[in-house]
Amino acid sequence: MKSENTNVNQDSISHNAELEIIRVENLHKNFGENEILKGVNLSVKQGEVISIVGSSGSGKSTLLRCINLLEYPTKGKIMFEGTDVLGDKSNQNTYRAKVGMVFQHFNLFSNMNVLQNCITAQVMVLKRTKEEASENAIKYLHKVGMAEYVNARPAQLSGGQKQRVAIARALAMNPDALLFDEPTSALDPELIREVLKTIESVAKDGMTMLIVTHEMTFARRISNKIAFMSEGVIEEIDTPDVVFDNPKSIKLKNFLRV
Amino acid sequence: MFFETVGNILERYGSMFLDGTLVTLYISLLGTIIGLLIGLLIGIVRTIPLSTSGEKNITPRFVLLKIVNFILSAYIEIFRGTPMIVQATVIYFGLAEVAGIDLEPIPAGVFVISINTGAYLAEVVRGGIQSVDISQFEGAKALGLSHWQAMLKVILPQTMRNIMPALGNEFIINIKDSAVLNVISVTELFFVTKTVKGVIYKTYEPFLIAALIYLILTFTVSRILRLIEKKMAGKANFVLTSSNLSADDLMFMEGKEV
Ligand SMILES: Nc1ncnc2c1ncn2[C@@H]1O[C@H](COP(=O)(O)OP(=O)(O)OP(=O)(O)O)[C@@H](O)[C@H]1O
Ligand SMILES: [Mg+2]
Repeated sequence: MKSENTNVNQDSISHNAELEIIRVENLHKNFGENEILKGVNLSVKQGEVISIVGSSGSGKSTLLRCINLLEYPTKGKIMFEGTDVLGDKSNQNTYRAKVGMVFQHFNLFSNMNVLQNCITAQVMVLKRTKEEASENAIKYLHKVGMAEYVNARPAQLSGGQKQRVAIARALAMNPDALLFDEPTSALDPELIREVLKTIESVAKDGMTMLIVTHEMTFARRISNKIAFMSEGVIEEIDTPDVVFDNPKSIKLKNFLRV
Repeated sequence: MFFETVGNILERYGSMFLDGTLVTLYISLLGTIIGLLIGLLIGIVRTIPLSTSGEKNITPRFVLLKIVNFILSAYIEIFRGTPMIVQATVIYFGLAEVAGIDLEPIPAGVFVISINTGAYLAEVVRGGIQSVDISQFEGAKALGLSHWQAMLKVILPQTMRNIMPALGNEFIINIKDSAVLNVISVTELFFVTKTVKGVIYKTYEPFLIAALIYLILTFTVSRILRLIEKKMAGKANFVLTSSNLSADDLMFMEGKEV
């Protein structure tokens, strides 16, 4: 397990662009009576960056949360690197460790400092030694420009800094894919840029990413594909140029107009 | 006249008062600690999700948890709903007569305080766990931590901070309420005072001394607890570290006040 940990992103990804990392088939999610996801299909290949856009309440967060099993789908299939995630319940924590998640509200552990935030799961889930974990954590804290803050508590950081730590924490697990749920929506405008830059540089390293965002120019610049969600399904998915310049459905046209 | 009496009492029975004070401190401290362990255990059990997959199927796990939760609620209701003096009497004499278990008064006293405190703290702990923001739990799950790992590393440390005031309060209440254990002949402060009163035929003076000792105990404890709470709230400042730190440097610094 340990040998595959280092430098997964830089070396192996993007050479194998046809390898499917995540495949979602006919995914349904009900909350009580309400059907929120109504049959989502999605395929994410290795090294691909897919941005998910759509109006509020269309089910974007629910989709991401289903993908890493924070919500349990009502129906449908999630394949991760060829294995059925919902089939084998004993491996779900291992699976979660391979799919990083960056939340709108950072979700940093408030009882730990920055370094501890970044090493706890490496030690507990990946069984790395504390030394290996720290070294790896610092590597990624460097990447996001937060290495100087190892001793700080989350409460002492700005929103942008918190989110960069959260990204480093996710990267330190050397995941095979990263999910972002509106990573800049809780930030003050002047802090958005630093976080978007960080995400962009992670994308450049070849990380497979699914990003829910309202930052359209950003999405257009860094994505291989844009998925437009509406009322619980992916209404359109295509290259940024097609989606933004040649939208097909009325819903997407309306969405882009506002 | 009054001071003379008090002085005389202290001179002749001072060591008895001291012994009684130590017993009071011993049973209330030990009872609070064991009560906390009981409370933590129950609080943790009562927050185990009934289902791992969000489905509301009636699995063996579901049934078992329901039964356990029912028993635990019964325990909590019974011990919160009856006076400790009654509990002490029933347990002490009941165990002796029905089960033939002749407990020494002091262990019996610790036992009564422990299960009584456990019942109160179980609710406090549950509230403390539930008041930790759900985002903390989700952050941990998304990194692949299991429910237990998340509990241990993220939720419980924050719970402890949340419940510190209630825990301290419970300790202070136990210092005072352990006086009722005189009914089962625990040689705590109140019991000792009664004994002294019986010997010297003075009524209010010995009890005034006892009151003063209780006051000193509770006041000191509440000051100490406030210090601990402050300490747990964490430092207000952090130190920027040079960004060229190696992992070794950090291991060295970790856990130290820098
Ligand atoms: N735990 C839940 N229980 C009940 N309903 C929920 C739950 N989570 C989400 N929903 C509902 O599901 C719908 C879709 O929510 P979701 O958060 O996925 O939308 P979204 O596309 O992410 O919207 P936004 O852009 O506002 O974040 C909403 O109507 C919401 O109220
Ligand atoms: Mg959302």
